[in-house]
Amino acid sequence: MENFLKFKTRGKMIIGFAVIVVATILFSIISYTNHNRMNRVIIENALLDTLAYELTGLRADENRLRALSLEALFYPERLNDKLFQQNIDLKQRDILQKTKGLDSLLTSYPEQKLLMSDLTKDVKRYVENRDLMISFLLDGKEQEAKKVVNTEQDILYEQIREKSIIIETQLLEMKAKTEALSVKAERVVVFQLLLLGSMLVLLVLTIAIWTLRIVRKITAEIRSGVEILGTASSDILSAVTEISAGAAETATAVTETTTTIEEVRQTAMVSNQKAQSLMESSQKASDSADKGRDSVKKLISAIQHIDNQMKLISETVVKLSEQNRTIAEITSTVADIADQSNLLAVNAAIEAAKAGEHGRGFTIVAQEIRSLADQSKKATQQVKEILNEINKSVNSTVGVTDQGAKSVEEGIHRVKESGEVIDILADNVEDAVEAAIQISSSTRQQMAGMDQIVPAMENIKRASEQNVTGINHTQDTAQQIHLLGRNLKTILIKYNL
Amino acid sequence: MNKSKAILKSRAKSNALIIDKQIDKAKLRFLVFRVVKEIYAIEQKWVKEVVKVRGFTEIPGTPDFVIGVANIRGAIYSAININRFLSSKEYGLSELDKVLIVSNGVTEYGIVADEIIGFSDTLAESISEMPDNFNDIYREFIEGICKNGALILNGRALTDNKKIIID
Repeated sequence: MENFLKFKTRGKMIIGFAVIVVATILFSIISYTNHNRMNRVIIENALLDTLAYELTGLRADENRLRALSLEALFYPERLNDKLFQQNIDLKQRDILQKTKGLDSLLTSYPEQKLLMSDLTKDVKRYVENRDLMISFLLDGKEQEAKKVVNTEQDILYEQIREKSIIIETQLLEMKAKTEALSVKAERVVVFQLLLLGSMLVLLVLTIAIWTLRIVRKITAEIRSGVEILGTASSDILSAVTEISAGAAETATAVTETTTTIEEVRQTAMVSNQKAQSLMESSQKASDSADKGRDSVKKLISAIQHIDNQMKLISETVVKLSEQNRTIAEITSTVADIADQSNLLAVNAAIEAAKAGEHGRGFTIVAQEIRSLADQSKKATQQVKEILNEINKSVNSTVGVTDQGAKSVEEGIHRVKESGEVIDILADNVEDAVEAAIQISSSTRQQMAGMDQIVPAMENIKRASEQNVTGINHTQDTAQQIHLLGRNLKTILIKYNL
Repeated sequence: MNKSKAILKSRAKSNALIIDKQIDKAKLRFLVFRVVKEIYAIEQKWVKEVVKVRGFTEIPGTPDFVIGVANIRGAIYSAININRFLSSKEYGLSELDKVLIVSNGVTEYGIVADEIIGFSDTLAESISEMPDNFNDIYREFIEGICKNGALILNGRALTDNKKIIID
């Protein structure tokens, strides 16, 4: 069954129709053979009928002949009548003919044929005897004629009659048998025909229904296929339109690319020239880097000298700062003394006032002392201020020298870095020289490549143009597919599938 | 220096003149001092001595204007802050390491000062009355106010008024 399902629909249908055809042929063959059989039976029946009829006729003829011969015996004058003689001869001939015919008809019945041949001999003898009797009668020998009749002719007659009756009964039995058989066979044939006919009808109906179902399934699939075809074709159409636009854009892009490539080629030429000049300048740069390296070495030694001097300055400034502090201490002591002097002067003035007139001169002295103390205080104040200024300057100097020292250190660091940088630079410059050489060679290759690209671009352009025409063709095809889909749809609707 | 000398000279001259005038007009001599920002002046005769003191010993249970006591050449003196006494507001930094010892011969105590400015003979000429809105409680301690803003302290009141003298 599964193998059967695997066949193509066409194959299935062919197989179905083949089955129908085979069944029909079988049916025809069976009908034909049945018909033949029946026919044979009928023919045989007819033959048997004829034989029976002929035998009956033979017997009648014989009776008639016997009657005639008896008439001749009893009435010999009748033999003079020509008509009578003729009659006897006619009957004689009839009998002989009939026996001959029966003998020929009984070919298919050997048993009866043997009997018949006996009968034929008897008939011949009977006929001969009768001829003898008639000749006796004609000669007037009536006694002898009667003797023939009584001795032989009666026995022969009886024998012929009996034999013919035996044959007839045998034939009739056979006929009855065949008839019974034929009725039975007829029933069988009718039953067979009905059975086979109904089977054939069923088979045809089954195959017809199955075929119809397949056709319906196919048409349903075709319909969905047509639907898909319609949408797909419109999709293809739109896609092809887009592709067409894209191809046109490609064509223009290719043209642009061609011009761009030309520009790139020129740029590559310029690059080549630039690479050459770069090589030269790189060489110069390398020399400069060597010089720079020497300069950096000198610079480092000079900066180290500065560093030493900065350290000296720093130490000096520190010393100065300490000395300044000592001076400040001394100044503050002086200020204290001045303060004390001032108080002493005030006290002296008070004491002088207490002394009254005598202390007046002392008052003046005390006043002078006070003013001196004031002055010294002011002076110490000034010294303090100056010291403060100096201190500030020293502090800022310390800061500046520190910064200077740091700057110098940084400078050394920087210069060393610069030296390293210049080393790296020199290396880089060497690399650059090599790179420039490589660039030069690669630009040359690039130019060669560009020269190859130009014809390639031409090819691409041609191809894209062909693309455009091809796409236009495709568009037409897609249009046709679209139309085909629509036509299929209309066909489906038209035939109401 | 020359300027100072010139000032000293002129001052000497003026002083010399004052003596003559003092006989005539009985001119007064004031000791001027500064407490924080306030300038005070007191007649010289009430001042016994001016000393520098390194520190005071605080006495518990005394009014807040009493700073404490100090040993000055073997004698114990109490010291007051005149600013606090006169309820003047205190601003800025102060050393207050100098002490004026005021005396009426019986009562003696110290008034702390930042700076002893000096003597003035001409101050009395510019004394004016205190404004009316000045606190009446302390009016008796102030004789007047000078044009330069110095308050003239009444030495008598300071040395025997019960408001300041605590026994």
